[in-house]
Amino acid sequence: MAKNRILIVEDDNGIAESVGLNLELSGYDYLIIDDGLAAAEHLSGDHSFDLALLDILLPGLDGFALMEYMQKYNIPALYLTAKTDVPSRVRGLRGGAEDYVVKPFSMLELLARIEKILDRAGKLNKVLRYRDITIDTEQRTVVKSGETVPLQPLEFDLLVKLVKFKNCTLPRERLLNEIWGIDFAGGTRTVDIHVAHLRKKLELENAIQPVTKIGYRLED
Amino acid sequence: MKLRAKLTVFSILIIALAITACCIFVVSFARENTLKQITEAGLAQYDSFYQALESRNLSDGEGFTPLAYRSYLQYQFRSVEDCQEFVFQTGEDMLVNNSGIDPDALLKNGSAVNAKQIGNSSSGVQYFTKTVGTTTVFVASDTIAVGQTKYRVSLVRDVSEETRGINDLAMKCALTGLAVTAAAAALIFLLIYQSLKPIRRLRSGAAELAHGRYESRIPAGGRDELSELAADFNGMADAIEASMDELREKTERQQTFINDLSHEMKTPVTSILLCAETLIGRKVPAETLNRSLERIYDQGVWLERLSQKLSTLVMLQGDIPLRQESVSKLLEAVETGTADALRESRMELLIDCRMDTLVMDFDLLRSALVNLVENARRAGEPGQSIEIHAYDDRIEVTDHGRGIPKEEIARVTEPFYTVDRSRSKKNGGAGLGLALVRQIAVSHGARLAIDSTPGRGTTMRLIFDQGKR
Repeated sequence: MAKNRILIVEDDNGIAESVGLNLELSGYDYLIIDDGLAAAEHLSGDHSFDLALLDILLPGLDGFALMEYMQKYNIPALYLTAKTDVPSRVRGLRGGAEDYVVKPFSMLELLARIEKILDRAGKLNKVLRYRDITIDTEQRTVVKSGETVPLQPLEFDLLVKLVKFKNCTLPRERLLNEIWGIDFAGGTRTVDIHVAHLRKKLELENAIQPVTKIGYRLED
Repeated sequence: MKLRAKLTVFSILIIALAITACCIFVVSFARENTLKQITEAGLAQYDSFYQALESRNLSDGEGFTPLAYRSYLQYQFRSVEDCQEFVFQTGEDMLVNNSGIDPDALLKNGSAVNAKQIGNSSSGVQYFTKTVGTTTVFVASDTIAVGQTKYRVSLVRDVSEETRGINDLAMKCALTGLAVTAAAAALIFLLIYQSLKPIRRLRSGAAELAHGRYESRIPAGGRDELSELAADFNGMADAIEASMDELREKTERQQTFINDLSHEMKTPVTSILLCAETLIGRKVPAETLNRSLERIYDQGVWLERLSQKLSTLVMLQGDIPLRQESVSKLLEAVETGTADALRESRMELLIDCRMDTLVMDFDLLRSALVNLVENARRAGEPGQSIEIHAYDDRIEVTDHGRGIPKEEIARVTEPFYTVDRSRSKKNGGAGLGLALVRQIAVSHGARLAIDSTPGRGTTMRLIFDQGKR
């Protein structure tokens, strides 16, 4: 399955490039356009995007106007803007945006929201690949070099999280909250134990890197 | 207690008191008069009766049997004219009692009507007026000597009729007084209610004001003190409304400024945070690492420049000491300050100084002019020239660049406003430059005038014609 393709319409090239770089590292394709009008023109020729990240204050056409084009080509869109006022948020979401992210934002948060939207739109890849490992998130099976590797449910969830956010450092607390749940009484040691199991079962000793004091990162 | 009730109650009390005093005076005067008449008439009649009796030269009883003498005396007494109300007695022995009332019993019982009605007349007659039960009686009495024996002659007159007249008068007075008081009370209440109406209007007006409805006014009318108060009150409301509007406008301006500022700061902050997050969390190639670090540095510099401009803007809100300085030196400093950037853009600065000195803050005015030259540079193309003319009361910066669309001219001096947002950002502008220039102009008693034709160029003029020279 091909990589998900994301359109970034943002006139500050510093932000656009940083977001693009992070998307690329997380396994997405992306295209940056820094002008609303140019984006609308581009869409008439090429509109095979799985998601669009739109700034609101743009030269040419503003983000609210661009939303019409997104709906025309059926591209889910997310606003990425410095406008924090409630009327703008409401207008954005009523206008058909899937989400509204206010600057400054955290890249991990943005990636999580992008994934949610792609999942809702049914555009998320159900099969994840990492080196010689294939993960089927629907069947919940893991195959390594043609052989099925049995994993505990929580180990499976942890693996999926690491692969989805590969090259990103995932804090222990975040993993604990998202996989074990907020109410889980055990400490962050639990995460370490499950990571150790994954490393051993899938021979990922070098790939899963501990990041001092923070958490873990799965590296390419 | 409300003022209305207080005024009404006290007024009614005073009126009732006055009417009561009047009634009491009238009634007691009438009573005094009546009793005086009763006394005078009684004494006069008594005197004439006494003299008539005395002139009869009554016999001392010689040659009479006691019974015959008694009859003789009775006969003599009764034959005096107008004897109907007289009593004739000696000690306990009652010879004649035409009045039918025992005067001795009266002496012992009953209450005196008035102390003045007890006394001795000039001829030595004792008299008094007394009330027993429902009857009032006037009594005048004296002794008369007949031979060796002293007889008592008394006038006993029923004066109930006359005194009843006084009581009737008192009753009428009381009733009239009550009626008058009631009528006065009603009138006073109405009067007070009516004259306090403006106070109620004032009160509701003040309440409106207290609830923040500064646009409400009290309907004016009349020329009394309360209407004057209402007019003053309206004047006060006018003043409050005006200063509230001013305050609101000022707050709105500040709010807009803060909103714009926070919006303007978000982009560089986002950029810095994203780069930092990437560098912390990701393993990135060396090229990306360098680019990210450069971006963090650039955005940091941009933020620093923004904060410097902001602090200048804040400083300009205060009073700035100005001094007489040379304009040619000022323009030299502007040339030095912009030379590098102009060389880089391959542009030329032409200076034409026909002005001697100007009252200014050298550094501020220099930074304003550098800002204007900087704007001109951004608007122009390589190879073009920028001109500075200083003459009469003005300094002009002229370029031959893009120009500003007519509808934008009024807005370019608003903080954070930029005509072409993305281009101005690429050129390193924050949208604060012209706002700053205008503020500097204002603190020099000058104004910033902009002339521009799209495609032909722009002239920015600092005109020093607002005093402060």
